[in-house]
Amino acid sequence: MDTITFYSYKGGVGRTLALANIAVYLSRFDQSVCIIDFDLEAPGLPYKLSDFFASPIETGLVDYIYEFTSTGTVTRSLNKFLLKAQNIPGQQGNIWLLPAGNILSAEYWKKLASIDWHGLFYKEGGEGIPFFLELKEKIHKELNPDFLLIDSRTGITEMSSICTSILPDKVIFLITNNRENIEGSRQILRGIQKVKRLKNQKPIKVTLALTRIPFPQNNDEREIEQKIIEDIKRFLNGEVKNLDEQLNISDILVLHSDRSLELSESLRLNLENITDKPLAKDYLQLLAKNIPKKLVKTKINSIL
Amino acid sequence: MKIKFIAVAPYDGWAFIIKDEHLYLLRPPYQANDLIESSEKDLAVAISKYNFQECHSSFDNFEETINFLEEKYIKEMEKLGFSLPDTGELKSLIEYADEDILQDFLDKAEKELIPLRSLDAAESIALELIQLENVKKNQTMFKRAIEIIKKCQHERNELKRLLKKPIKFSQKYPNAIKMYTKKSLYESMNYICSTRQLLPIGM
Repeated sequence: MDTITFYSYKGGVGRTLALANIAVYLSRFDQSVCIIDFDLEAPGLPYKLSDFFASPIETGLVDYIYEFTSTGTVTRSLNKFLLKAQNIPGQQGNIWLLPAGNILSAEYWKKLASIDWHGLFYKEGGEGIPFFLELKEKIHKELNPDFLLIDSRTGITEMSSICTSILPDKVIFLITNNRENIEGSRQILRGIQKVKRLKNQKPIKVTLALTRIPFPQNNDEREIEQKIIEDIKRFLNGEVKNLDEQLNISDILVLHSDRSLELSESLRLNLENITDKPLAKDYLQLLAKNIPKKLVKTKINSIL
Repeated sequence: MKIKFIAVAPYDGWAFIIKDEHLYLLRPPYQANDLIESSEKDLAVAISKYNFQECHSSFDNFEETINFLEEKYIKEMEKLGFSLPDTGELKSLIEYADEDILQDFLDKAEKELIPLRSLDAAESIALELIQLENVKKNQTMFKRAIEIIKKCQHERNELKRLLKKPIKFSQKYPNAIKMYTKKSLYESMNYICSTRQLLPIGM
């Protein structure tokens, strides 16, 4: 199971939509996927895939965590917290969703507010680390998906840090071209680079994707896009005193903006004639960076 | 684990206790997540303003602690004339009772006794009621009484689950231990606890 966190320092960059599209593509490529909505303060993942999850959300991750923090016990099976996607066009692999919970109920927000994140991690003997790793391994054991995709909370909080430090093998990091976003992102990227991994965990691999960039219509616009990318790279790779914080980012992908999404948000499901569909192509390129080469060769190259 | 009482309000089952050298307020329905860390000042206010009485009993676990508080509460209620009728009295009270009165008994069991964890009392009311011809004929009332019995059983099991000894680390996290080893998990916990940062930013 490959665990990929989708993270952005600030919201509104298309993070959740990118995850939803990639989950559907993976399922079409005969890969089974589990997706987790970890954006607990502003959950959105089920909305992006609402056509495929018919049953109402009654419980979710917040209930799972709350049960642990209030009783000290770990729920044995994840079954009651999971939903299975249906009727995805071209679907071959399963998609399971672990939602944040029933956000329309007062209970959800009360439970979220009562979770003591500080106690989970910073109190002596706080069992947050084994608890969340047990959740991950339980997903592996119960569902055995090929991929676990996590929609992270934004910013720098315990909620987001679980997603960017404890759980992932890879992080797909979305940024936009403005100073506060890039500076905040650089802090996080340096942090990810320094995360102490547990036994059997490899260093976290990061793929950067720049969003909200219009698709270039001519060479001049292509040059502008390239210049923006180079400027961001230069800033991110800026020299630092502590060598363990020194970034060395060589590649930044672009998820081009799509005007039709602003008018009506939807998944980019049609992958035929991909050259006419810049965003779908961008998603596939992003996916190709994060899956085994064999899968890229057999499933993606022919489309691209 | 030693739990030492400092002060008790027997009329509502609240108490100040010392556990692991910390002062807590314990209150019905005695959920593990509902222990409120308190100060000496809170304690002084509770004794002077809210009729908490000093108490120096101590117990080895929460089960005994809660039993002690419940007994005190029941005694207090009896003093105030709120005692529940015993089974014999209850039988004679309900034998010729009309539907409204029977509903009142069910309400009392469901809305007062179960939340206070007076599960035996709630259950005995429901058990007596289901034997009555009037209740057997009234499917809604009969089902409600059955639900109360089931709820008592469920609550009892929940309480047992909450009060039983802490589950061992290896029982709670078998899959994480298998993947990352217990040693590595403990090292990570200690490291995060000492740095107070999950993501090492700005160090």
